Amino acid sequence: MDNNGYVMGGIAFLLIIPAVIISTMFINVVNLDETVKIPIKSDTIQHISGDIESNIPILTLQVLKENSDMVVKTGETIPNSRETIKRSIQSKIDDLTSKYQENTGINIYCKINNVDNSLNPYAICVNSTVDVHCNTSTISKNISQDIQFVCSDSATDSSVESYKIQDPLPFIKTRGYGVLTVVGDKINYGTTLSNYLKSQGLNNSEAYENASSPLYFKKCPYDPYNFHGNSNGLLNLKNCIDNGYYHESRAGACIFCRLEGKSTCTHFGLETFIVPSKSSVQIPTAPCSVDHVIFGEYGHYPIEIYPGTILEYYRTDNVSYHIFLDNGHRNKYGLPLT
Amino acid sequence: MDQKGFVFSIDAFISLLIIVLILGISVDAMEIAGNKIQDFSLEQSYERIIGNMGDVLVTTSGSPENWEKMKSFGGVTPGLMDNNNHTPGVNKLSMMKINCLKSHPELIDKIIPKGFDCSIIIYPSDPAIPTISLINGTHNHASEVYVVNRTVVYSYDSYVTYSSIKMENYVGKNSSDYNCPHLLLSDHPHQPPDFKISKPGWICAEFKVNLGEFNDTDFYLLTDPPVLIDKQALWIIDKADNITENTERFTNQPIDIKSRIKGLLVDHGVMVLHIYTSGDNNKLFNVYLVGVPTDTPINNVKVNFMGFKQGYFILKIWD
Repeated sequence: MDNNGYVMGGIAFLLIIPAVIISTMFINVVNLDETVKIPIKSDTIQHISGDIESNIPILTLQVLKENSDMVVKTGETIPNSRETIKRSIQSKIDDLTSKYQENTGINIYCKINNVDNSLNPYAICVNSTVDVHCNTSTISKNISQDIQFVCSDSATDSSVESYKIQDPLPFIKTRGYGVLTVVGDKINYGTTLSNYLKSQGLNNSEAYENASSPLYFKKCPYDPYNFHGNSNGLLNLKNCIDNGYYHESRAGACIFCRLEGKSTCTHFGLETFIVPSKSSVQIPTAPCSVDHVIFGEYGHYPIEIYPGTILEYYRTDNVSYHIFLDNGHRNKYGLPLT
Repeated sequence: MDQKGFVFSIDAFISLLIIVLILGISVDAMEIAGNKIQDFSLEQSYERIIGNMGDVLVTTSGSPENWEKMKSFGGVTPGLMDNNNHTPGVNKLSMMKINCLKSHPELIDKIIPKGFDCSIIIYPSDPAIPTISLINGTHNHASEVYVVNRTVVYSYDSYVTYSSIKMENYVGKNSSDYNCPHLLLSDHPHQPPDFKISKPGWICAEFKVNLGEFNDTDFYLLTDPPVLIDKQALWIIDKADNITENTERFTNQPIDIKSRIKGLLVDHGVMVLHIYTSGDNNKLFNVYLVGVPTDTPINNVKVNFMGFKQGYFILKIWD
């Protein structure tokens, strides 16, 4: 401070002004550099949100496969399967997003809101929210995806093939009645199913000794279903049974209810044929050869297990290939009524 | 003013000179910076506009979604994303929308700024596939050209693959996922091949043709490679309820099977494609049963045109 009480001289003060102007300009240039980065990061977050979205169906199929494999192995049900599956998908998604976060430094958050039935019984519906946030850019998306879990012989897309989902219901229902063996794409029941039916107090349960049913969910191509009966010598029905196809059904259980051990449910579900072994001896009536009937509850109202009359769909020499069907199912599949 | 009549001392004069000099340089620098900022923001603004334009074309299916099927294009905003079977995160373009924009290039005026001109070209990664020029334009006298490059996938031609049999998928297996109706035949049941011991056999797969799509579609059998090394290869198309044992050989051309499909398309369209192979690991091949729009010249039915192709969507814009 000088004798007049000034901190700096007039000239020194004047020199500060251009210094302030120059530093303001410098700050502006630095800020401009930052604005260049924004569109580049916007593109990245767009791609990351797309990647997360496209991974949800793959992770969902992985979870469905793991859960159905577990039920097939243990025979134990998965109570509240929707919630269990939702949590498993969420855990896999969390692993994925944390890896993205480590690699890119971008904040990613994906929440699986809901897992439920789709309008298509061969698919499940997964609702999720994806939030990707980087600096000032944010993408937030609510996504609803119908994820098909069935495989098809005519499928040209092999991605579903690697996630063939096994039907858990037979393994839950026959637990404690014997051993089921898996041969190729089929479940062989041996004496297990007949033991199970006998324990329910049903007549002619021996018709299901050495019965078989499909292991994997496959969509039937014979749609409308009356094409099954609309052929020379019921060969379409034979082809359908040989390949173990599943059909849409109001009475049959959906994938979630199958995991919970229910044979019927109020959702739009699936049904398949459980095929008695080919034999020379014919029994005229036995429990109807549709899975939701065979594995239904007996002795309660409404009665879920009801009989069907024999339908021979193929014969070679003295061997008869047959199933037992009621008129309701015969009508559905265009087969001759009794 | 001092005793010699000077208003400023020499020191004050030099200081003022330096200040004026610094101020002058600062003003000049500010003007240069201002101009640069203006140019930069203009450039950024154009780049943002063209970036958004590219994204609108590549990541949206337009408005309305099925604009390519409309008779009049008033009120249409074009977008090229395939709204059927769209895989999220993938820029999958619809060939129908691409062809429609190619026929009606004036639709692009709906999304480019006024006074600007543009060109759109899709360059495929595979050089065997022709380049698609959607909108032609030349920019010989333009001072600035802005470019957007997006990686896209598209099906070069509107093929529908009804069935595909890839031998390499069966190499490790000696059983088939499909139970062929020919297993019923006692004389010639279709047993799968065993590539480990070069045992010949049949690979069979079912496919479904809907009556509604038959009239608008020509059907072909294609092989990859187009000329087979496996000279024993044979094919049959039949149905579970209409089995035939009449085998046919592959030729070096796509095989027109429309009449065969027509003959079988009674009641239902669930058919079976049977392929016979020598089981030789060194002679593997793939067979595709494809549907193409009616009257597609046979020269345009090629196996390397099939499926989704990767390409670069290049949008250029200039004033």
